[in-house]
Amino acid sequence: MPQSQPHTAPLFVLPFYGYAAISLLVSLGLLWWSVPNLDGHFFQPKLLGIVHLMALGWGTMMILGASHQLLPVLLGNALYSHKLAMSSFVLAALGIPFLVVRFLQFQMDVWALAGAAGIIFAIIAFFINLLQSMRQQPQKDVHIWFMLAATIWLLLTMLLGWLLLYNFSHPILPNNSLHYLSLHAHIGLAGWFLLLVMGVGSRLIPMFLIAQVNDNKTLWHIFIVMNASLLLFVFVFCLAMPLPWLVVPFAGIVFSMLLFANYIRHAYRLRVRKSIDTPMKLSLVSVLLMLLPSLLLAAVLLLQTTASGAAITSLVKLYGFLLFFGWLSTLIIGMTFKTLPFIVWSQHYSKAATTKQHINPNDLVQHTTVKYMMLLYVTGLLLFACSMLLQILWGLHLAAAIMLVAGVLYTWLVYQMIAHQPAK
Amino acid sequence: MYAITTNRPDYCAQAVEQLYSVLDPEMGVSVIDLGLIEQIDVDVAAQKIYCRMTLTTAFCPLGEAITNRVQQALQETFPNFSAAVTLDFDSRWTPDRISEAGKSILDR
Repeated sequence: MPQSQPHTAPLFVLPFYGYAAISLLVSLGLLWWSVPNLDGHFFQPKLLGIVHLMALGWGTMMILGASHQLLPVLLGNALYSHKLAMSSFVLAALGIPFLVVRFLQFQMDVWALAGAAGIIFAIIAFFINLLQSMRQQPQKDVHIWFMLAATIWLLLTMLLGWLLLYNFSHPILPNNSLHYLSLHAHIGLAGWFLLLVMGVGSRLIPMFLIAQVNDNKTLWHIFIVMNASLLLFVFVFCLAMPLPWLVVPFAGIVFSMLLFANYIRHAYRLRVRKSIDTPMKLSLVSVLLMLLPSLLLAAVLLLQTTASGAAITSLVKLYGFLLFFGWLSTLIIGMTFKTLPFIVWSQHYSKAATTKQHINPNDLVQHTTVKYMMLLYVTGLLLFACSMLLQILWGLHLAAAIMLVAGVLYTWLVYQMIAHQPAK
Repeated sequence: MYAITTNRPDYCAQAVEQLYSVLDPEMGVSVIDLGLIEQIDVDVAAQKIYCRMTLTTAFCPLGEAITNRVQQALQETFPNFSAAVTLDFDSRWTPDRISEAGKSILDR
């Protein structure tokens, strides 16, 4: 037998993908159901439920799953523990429904706290797995530091979230929980999602495009500016410094995004693979979509003192929608059809040592259905964003329905792949 | 084509011809055109073939399948020999190793 390299067993990765797909579907169903409630304040049960299901059940579960598969690729050695990977899945999978359901019922009680604690332990399990895997490799490249820092920010976000939940029923913080929402949301969004996407995306996108970008310096700049900006943001927030101070960390994060977008543009120009498939196109579109919420946030900061409260609330909701359903979801949907086929294929065909084997990972994807699903999703997304901005209720209903259909198709495609069995 | 080192060019040429049929499952390009094969040595007396190769990415989920197929291809070409395939990541693979034929496949 040839010398083989142990990669993470699919059995420990696929449950994350399956869970995430169901979470997206439920989130899209909740979005469609919540359309009549979208004109109120953003702190309301349905929006809280949707945001947390999107952030944890969809985004975080998918990223954790993919990270378990990617860690060996990024590090150059095997994952430390499959048991910790499975523990991470089980704890998060149990914790998320408790938290989300209690949010939907607007009950910040012991069940919500227990759910949040489950998710915290899931992240701790992942963190230990990451640290121990890193210890086996003396030479660590920049991408793995992104993953480590992002996981620390996720852990901080979750710990703060748990405190905010507790603070609802037993006030222990100087202010009410609502006061800390923007801190909780932004260290999660920028510290976890954005940092991780930049770190992993800067490795994966050139890899799929077959482009050699020798520019670790830019990646280190992004890493330093992002983390410094986040720390400054926490500092400005905790010291209740005047609003203009927020411009500095905000500018730092936008600068990092522009550096990252330029890095990807560079990879795109250097690519050997000229034809780009649909999932990759969607992933590249998501890099551009990353900048759109930043413009909205800039508008919120600029208009804070002049615009009406209702206008600001409306912009904040659009900002949140574009972050979760736009940037993050398009990226994850695109990357699903780049990573999942490999995982499923390696489960069934890597041992089949024959040169006459004609099934390839790409053959596991139903390309036409994927194309229509993505088209539907992007159409619904744009219609929803425009309808939110112009406050057109029928537009919101129609867009949510279109996105829900796309979600049904996505879930079906994912489960088709997971359930794939080789022809006898 | 990426230069393959060998102690027996005659055997190596036969092996290379067969290895053109081993494709990277993701790219659809042969391991030869991708420049993954670095060395093919033959010990005729011991009837052994040693193949040293790399992957486009270390710990690639498709790595095991590719090395299995390389070994199978060598075994099919030289049925009386035993083939040993080892992975080497000392020199990192770069897209520069892809042959013109490989690039034209990726261009489609």
